Order: sequence, then structure tokens, then C-alpha cells
Amino acid sequence: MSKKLEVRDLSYSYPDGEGRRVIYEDASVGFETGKFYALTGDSGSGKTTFLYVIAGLDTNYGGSVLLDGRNIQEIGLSSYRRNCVSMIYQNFNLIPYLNARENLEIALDITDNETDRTRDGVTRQLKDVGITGKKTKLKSSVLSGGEQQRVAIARALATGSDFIIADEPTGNLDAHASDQVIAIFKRLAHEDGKCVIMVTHNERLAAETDEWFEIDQENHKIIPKRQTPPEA
Amino acid sequence: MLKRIGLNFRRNCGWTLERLGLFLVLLFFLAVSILMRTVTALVNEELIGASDLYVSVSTQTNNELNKCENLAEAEEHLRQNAALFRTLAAGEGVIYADRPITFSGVLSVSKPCEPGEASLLTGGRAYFVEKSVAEKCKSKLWYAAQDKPDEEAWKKQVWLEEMRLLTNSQMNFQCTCAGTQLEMYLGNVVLTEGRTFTQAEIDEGAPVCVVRKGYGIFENNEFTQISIGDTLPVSVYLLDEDQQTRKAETRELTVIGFYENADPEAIQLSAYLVVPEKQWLELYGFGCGFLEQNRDADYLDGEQFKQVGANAMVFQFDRLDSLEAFIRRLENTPEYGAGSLQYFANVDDTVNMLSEFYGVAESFRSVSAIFGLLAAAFAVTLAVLDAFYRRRELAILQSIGESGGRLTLQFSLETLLLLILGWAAAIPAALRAVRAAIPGLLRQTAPTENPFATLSENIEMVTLDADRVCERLSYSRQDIIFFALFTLVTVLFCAAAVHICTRRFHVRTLLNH
Repeated sequence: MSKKLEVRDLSYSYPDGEGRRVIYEDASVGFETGKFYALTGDSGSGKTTFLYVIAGLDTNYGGSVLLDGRNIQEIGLSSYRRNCVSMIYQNFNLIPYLNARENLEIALDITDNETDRTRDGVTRQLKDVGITGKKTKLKSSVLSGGEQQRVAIARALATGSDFIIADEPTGNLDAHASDQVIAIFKRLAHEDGKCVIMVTHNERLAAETDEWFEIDQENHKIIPKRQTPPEA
Repeated sequence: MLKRIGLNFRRNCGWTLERLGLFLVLLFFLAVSILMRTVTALVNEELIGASDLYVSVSTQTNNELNKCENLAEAEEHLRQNAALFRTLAAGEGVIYADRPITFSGVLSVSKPCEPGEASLLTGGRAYFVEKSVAEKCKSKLWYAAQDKPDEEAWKKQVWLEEMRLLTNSQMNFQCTCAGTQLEMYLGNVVLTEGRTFTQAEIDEGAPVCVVRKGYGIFENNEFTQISIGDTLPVSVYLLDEDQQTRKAETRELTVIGFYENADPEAIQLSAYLVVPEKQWLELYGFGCGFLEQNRDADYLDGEQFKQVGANAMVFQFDRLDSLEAFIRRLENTPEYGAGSLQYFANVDDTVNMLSEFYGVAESFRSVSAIFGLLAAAFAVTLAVLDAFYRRRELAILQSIGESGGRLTLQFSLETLLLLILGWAAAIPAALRAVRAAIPGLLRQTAPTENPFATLSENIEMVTLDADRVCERLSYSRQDIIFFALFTLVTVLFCAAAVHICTRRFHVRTLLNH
């Protein structure tokens, strides 16, 4: 059964000089598992803000974020982040002094989800994103950007969360690595039944997704740009 | 949680070792500081606590004590309220002497005296001591002019004895009625409020007193300033036939005036409570100090007085005009400069002498206090800084679902473990270091009069023995409790810092950093 993450009547603004700059005003949008979404918009339009709101990392908003009809604040933000969503950042946000394997183990230690916490399980999860052999034992800070992003993806997947939120995950990667990441996301959505929500500037990559939303800066809304999946 | 702490220690070992190293150094200094306090106490005990003088503490400054009906009660009260007076050293006790109480001060005698009547004088301070000491004083102190010992050496011994007495006694009672008036006359002491005694009060021995400004009483362990018109109870304790102490009498003395030293910097009259001499005599049944009663100014010409070269005296006069005449005569008679006025000249020397000894311990105390405070402050700061230093890591862990409470617990446990490791190394290291440093430190700071002879019957010499100090040096239970409390406080500060970081800092800002 698919799960839904809905944003209802989202309002978000912040002080800007003497007034307030409005980012969203009564914006509503919904996501469901099994699909790969893209969110695009100009710089400063509020893409990342949106992700932090639905990731439960920013609570300075009006409206509500509902997971299967239940407000995430009721679930408890820590619990929500621990078990329901995983976020992938442009700058990876791995713990730098831990190696790839340990970064995953930390996340597994934190989540309450039923996941494979065995050594083999961690090895397999890293292998699934292309991190194998000695690279699993290297400090994450010495891995390349692409490798770090894959570890970050593996960490997000390892926790068993249904919603994967990615903030410009390919921003620091070359075209080849970007394609690999997108392939992983597609697989996650279509084979593993996850919901992947990706913020990107890259329209080529956005076109690869099942649904594509865009931020309407004029009306402070999130509007669908394309709702039908691209042809295979 | 423990696995994560282990990972953190192992993988982030550079920072962990840095923190551990810093904690170790800081805790080492803190432990040294604590040990130095013990060294201070040991040095004090070695130097001036090696006393078998058990001094009466029938203090008028404590109303509660005045309510005690016997020695056992009084002792218990004093022990429970030691902080109100001073720390009672191990083995110290309180003895109430039977009448006539041997009255002692330090230490000039002008005439032979019988046991129980030994009149020793500090020129202001009064103590009760055991008869045996008085006996010894008598044999040592009485000397003729021709076999007078080296005066300087003698003075030093007298001062050292005074110091021992001071350290082992509770200020009791001042009876230097005339002495105070002498100081008033000399301008060393000024009446700041109220009045001094009238001639009639002196004649009658009226139950009145003049007290030093700032004097107060402890009632229900609360310090209360007294005012003119207040009454101070003063009790006398006696031994009954069964050798049991009992409270014999309590007098209510009315406060009629306050005095203070003219020069606050100068140590002049240390009396706290001055009563007419007759009142004192009635209370205690003996005179104060070595007492020359009703002498007129011509007495100063007496050969006996010159012979003994006494450097501290109290004179008792029935009439104030006699006192004035006496002082005038004293001032105009240079050879008697060694008499009463000499005392005042000697005060500074005495103080210097005492400071030399107290300085040994004080130097330790002050240096260690500074180090201790700095070490404690830095250790706490270090614990707090860790949270701020690792705030991005905190944000990452929060973003993957860790709760603020568990993060606080994790960081607090890490700090606790580091502190425990730090203490485990710092405590024995500090003990070794202080033990190694003691001989050198004591050599540098020990007074020249070490060892020195005492007037006590049971203790011939007092020696500042570095080996003995080293041997006795250890951590007390209180020290261990302090270490534990300090650890707890530091961990709490760390927890507070983590709490602030997880609540106050914007996770988004940290994650985007």
C-alpha cells in the first residue's frame, strides 16, 4: 500500500530588511511512494526550504505536513526523521572522521526500522551504490565527491525510510556520476517502492523523473510542470 | 550508544586525545590544588598544631554555647559549629579548667608564681591553659636579671608559643581594661560609639562592656551584630567534685560602647570585649595577666620592674588619673620604653614572625587556589567547547533522527568517560608530583626557627618535617567527593551546551555549512 506525504497550505516567510519575504503562501502538494519526483525553481525560490520543511528539519512554517494524514509534529520530529524520511544533501553531510561503513552503522543505530544491520547487510548496501572493497574502510572525508554522495545515498537507504529527500544530490558530481545517482533513485522508486523527492537545477535530470514540480515564485505556490512519467 | 561513543573515540581519536590531554593537565592542576590544601593543613599541624594545649572555649560570642550545661554538651556544640569559630584539628578538644583557672597569655612574667596562678600575658590576648604548661612556664620564665637568656631568641620562642596558643585556642575574653584605655590614650584605639566606663563602673565592677566595632554574637548559628544596650551572656564553667563540668554562672554584660583601631591597617588592640577589672575578677576569681594593682607612677622607678625587662604588661588602676599619670611617666622615661610601650613597638615584629610561619602554608594555599580555579574553569570550558566545536556533527545526527536527549546523553557520557580517564591519571600523578615537590618547597619556605622548642610538657620540639608531611599526604574522602562533584558539574555543563546546540542552533544552517 502506498504512503502519502502531503503538504497543505504551506506558508513560509522570513524577515528581509524592514518587511518579510514570502516564499510560500498556502502552497499544497502531495507525494506518494513508488514515484520519483523532481522539484525545480530559480535560485532562492525556496526549493531547499521546502525540503527542510518536509524533512522535519525546519518548523518555522504555517500549514501542515502530513504523513498518511497525520501531522509530522504529532509523530514527533525526531521519530519522523529517524524512521520516515531520509535526506541526501548536496554537500553530503557525512560524519567526516567515520568511514563509509561506520556512517551507515550510525544511521542504522539510530533508526527504529526493521533493517538489515549485519555486517554483510551494510556491505551489500554500500555495494548497491558502488562503494566496495577498501573504499568502505576509508574515512568519508577522503572519498571523492561522487563516492561521498553514494555513501550518503546508502545511508539514506539503509534506514529503511519510505521517503528519500535529495537536495541537489548531483550538484557536486560530474555528468556520469549524476546519471548513476539518478539511476539509483529510479530503481529505488520503481523497484523498491520508495518515494524520492529531488530538488535540482538540472532540467535534463528533472525530465527523468515521474513527476516534476516547479516553484511559482509569483504566486508562492508549487505547481506541477509535468505529471506524466517520461516514456521509457 | 556505547558503540557510537567507542566509534567516536576510536575514529575521532585526534580530537579525543587532545581533549583527554587537556583534561588530564587541567585535572592534574586541580588535584594538585586540592592536595596543596591538604599540605597547608599538614604544615599547619606540623608547625603549630603539634600542641597538647587544650584551651578553654568559654566564648562569649556564642549564645548557644552559653546554654550548654556541661563540657560534653559544649564540646559537641563546638564540634557541630566548628565553622563558626575555626576548624577543630584532629585530636583537639576543649578542656574547662577548675578554679582557679590557670590564666595564660604569652608571655612575660615579672614575678615568681605558684602553679595555678601563673600569670602570662600577651599584652591583650587571654587564654586558659593547662596547669602543667603554667608550671613549665613558671620554671622557664622566671629569671633574674643576671641570668636572663638571649632576649631575641627568647622573644621568638615567646612568639612561637603565642602562635601555637593562638592556633589552638578560641579567643575568649579580654580583660585589658586598663590596657585598652592605654591604647585609647595613645590614640591607637578610638571610641566610635557610646562611651567607655565611668569611674563608678570601674569602682563597682559593673556588668558593662565596651566591644570592638563589628563584634557580634552567634545565635542559632546566625551572626547578629550587636548594638549599644544589648546584653551579652558570659558563662563560667567549673569542675564539680565528681570532676564533671557544669555551668557555674552566667553574667549578662550590657554593651555601652564600641571602639575600633585608629589605623585599620595596623594590628593594635585585638581585644573584642573589655570589662571593668572587678567584673572579671568576680567572674573568674583571678586577675588578668600579671597584674600590678594600684601602682602609682612612681612604681616605674622600682628596681624589680626594670630587672625583668618585661615587654608586655597590663596595669590595673583604680583611678583614671593614675593611668594618665602612669602613661605620662612612661613616655618620659626612656628606659621603660622596654615596658608597656615596647609591646606596641614589637607588634610588627610579632606579626612578621607569625607571617613567616603562616606564610609557609599560605604560599601553598594561594598558589594552589589560583591554579585550582583556573584549572576548574578551563575544564568546564573545555567540556562546553566540545559541544560547540562538534555542533555540525550534532546537526547531522539530528538530521538522521537522533533526539536531543540521546545526543545530550551521548556527549555527556563521552565527557564523563574522558573525565574519569583524566582523573585516573591525574590523581596519582598529582600525588606523586606534590610529594616530590614538598621537600623543596618546604626548604624554601620553612621558617628559620625550625625546629623550635615549646613550653609544653609533652612536646619538647616542634619540627616541620617534610618526610612526615609527604607520608601523611593523601586524598581525603572530601577530596574524592569534590572530584566526583566537579565531574558531575562539568558533565552537566557539557549537557547544557549540547542542549543549547541542539535547541538553539539552526540545524539547516549547520548542515549547509
